[in-house]
Amino acid sequence: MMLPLLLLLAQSGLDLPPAGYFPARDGRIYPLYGMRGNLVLGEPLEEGVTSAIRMDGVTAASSAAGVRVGGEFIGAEQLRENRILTPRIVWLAEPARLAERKPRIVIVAKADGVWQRIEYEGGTLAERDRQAIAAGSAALDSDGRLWTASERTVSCGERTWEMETAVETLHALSEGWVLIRAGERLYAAQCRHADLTVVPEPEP
Amino acid sequence: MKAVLACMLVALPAAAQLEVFTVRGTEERPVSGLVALGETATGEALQAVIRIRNTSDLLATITTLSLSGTGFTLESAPSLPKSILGKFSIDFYVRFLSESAVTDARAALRINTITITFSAAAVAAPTLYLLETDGSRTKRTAGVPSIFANTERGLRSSRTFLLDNPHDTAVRAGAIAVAGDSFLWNELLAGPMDLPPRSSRRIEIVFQPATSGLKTGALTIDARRYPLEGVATEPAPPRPSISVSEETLKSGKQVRVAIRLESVSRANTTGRLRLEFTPAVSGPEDPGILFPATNSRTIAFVVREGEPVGLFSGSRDTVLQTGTTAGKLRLIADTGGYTAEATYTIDPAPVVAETVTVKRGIEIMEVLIKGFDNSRTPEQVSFRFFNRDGVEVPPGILTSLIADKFRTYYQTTTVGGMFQMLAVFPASTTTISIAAAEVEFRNGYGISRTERLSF
Repeated sequence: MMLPLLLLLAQSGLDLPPAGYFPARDGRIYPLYGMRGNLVLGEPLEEGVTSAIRMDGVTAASSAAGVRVGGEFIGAEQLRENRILTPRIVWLAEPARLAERKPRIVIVAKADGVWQRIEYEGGTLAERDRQAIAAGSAALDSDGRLWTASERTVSCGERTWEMETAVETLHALSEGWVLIRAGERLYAAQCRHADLTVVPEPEP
Repeated sequence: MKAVLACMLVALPAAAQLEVFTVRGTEERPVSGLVALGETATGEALQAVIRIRNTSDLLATITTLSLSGTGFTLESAPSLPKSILGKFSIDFYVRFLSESAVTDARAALRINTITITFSAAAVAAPTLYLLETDGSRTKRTAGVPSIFANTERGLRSSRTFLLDNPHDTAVRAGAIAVAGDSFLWNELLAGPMDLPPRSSRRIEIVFQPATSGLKTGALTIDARRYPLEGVATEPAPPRPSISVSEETLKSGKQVRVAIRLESVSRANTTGRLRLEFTPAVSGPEDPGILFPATNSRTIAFVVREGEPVGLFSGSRDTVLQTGTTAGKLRLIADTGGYTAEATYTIDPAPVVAETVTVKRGIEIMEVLIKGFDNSRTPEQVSFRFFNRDGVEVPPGILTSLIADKFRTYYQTTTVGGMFQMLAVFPASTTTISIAAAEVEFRNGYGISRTERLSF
């Protein structure tokens, strides 16, 4: 006999609402907090950091020298191969980047001058598939949705935006956010909403 | 000015010795018996600098210094007697000016016992006058600038000159021209102009500067050059006003702000828009109230000629982020000596749950809420869960009093009124049948409830 379902509110916690890390035009990596209509910039990570990712309360930051995961530093010479850094964070050696570990890891990266969708096996980190993407810029959001940009047009598949100027880069954050750099402005978009939020950015 | 130079040594009774020179720039030339000043137009002066140097070591005294001859005068001459220390010198001018034509005018300059002869000629030429607004006229001499009224860049002003023949014979102005980008005239007058006796012609010169600043030019009549000067001023910019895309400002929004000008600008200038915020609640400053384009509460704009609005990096407006704190937001725009202000009140409001994410475990439910409370007064949060048939899962409404937790959180938060709240719900059995949830917040300004969220 099935027991009746009974829920209890056991605990609740409060924190800053993170949106992810992004490279600002001053060359530094910044944490971004907030939501539609209200984004706030945190303090930049140390100089030289080229990308960062946060999972389960651990921040991994890569630089030319290597990757720092929490308090541990892994030198570049040790990162020549794909590597599991934490149960949730992996290092993919080619193209070099941090990624979230899933049963099937899919990234979008530019390799040999061409945007590509690359798929890895989550347990062994072995490459399983690689396909070219015809776009000026591309990114995979945290929901696994492919975003592409060509000239002024940005598409997340089910929605399209026409920007005022040509799109230079797309950069995925967490919770489906993708940053669109177009001209002097940086916008944040989510595929489920038509509106764009302008991202605060320090002047270079 | 032309001069023929000669040398003369003047022996003085006291055995002191004086030498006389003409001076041009830094060059001295010894003077002998005759100094030819050259030829000039009637009404235009010829002038020579004369230097007397005491070449001895003794004190020399000049007791006689005089000049006789029609049209010749001494300028800046010393009072007599004048003593000159050994190896020292004094300077003065010999000037020639004739209003009528003369072919060989002569004058004798006496320095103590010595006489030097000066010669000059004046050729009949028209006289140039500047007509004043009161109808009077001012004689212009070559080399002395005629000043135009200060004129706004892009506009024009003019001055009228009168070329007058005061002679009883006809005179000719062979070549007339106006130089300088900002000065215009009727070039049909450029050719040789014959003026009958006692007649005159008007020349109107227009000052039309394209850019601001001091502008110079010249009216040339044969070999005479009459400088022209005018100051081009920058047009005053129009009075600005602040325009916001929303009539009422609310928290958690990005709105567009424009600087409207009362007329299309003829000026090019810069301006600055800034915001001041007075929170209605205590606690840390809200860093989300800013202009995202600069990540600050100040942003520069330009007022450009032909534009009815200020331009922010080329755009006709800029984005203002209202943040997540209730209070008074004041916008201040400064440009061209004007200050425009607009004040908006962001009222305290019920909690906004911007996103709610539900994660279902086997015997646990996790609800993650991202939102904000611009009054920072959350009191209570309630959750309701529903199965696939829409039946509420027991025990029904699960309520938590959250005032203390939020009070502590808001004492140290660095993101204004924003928060991320994780609520964990252990279940007595599998949660697979749970299909929807509702979340309700209550704060000091009301109750807000999400729609029923299916998952």
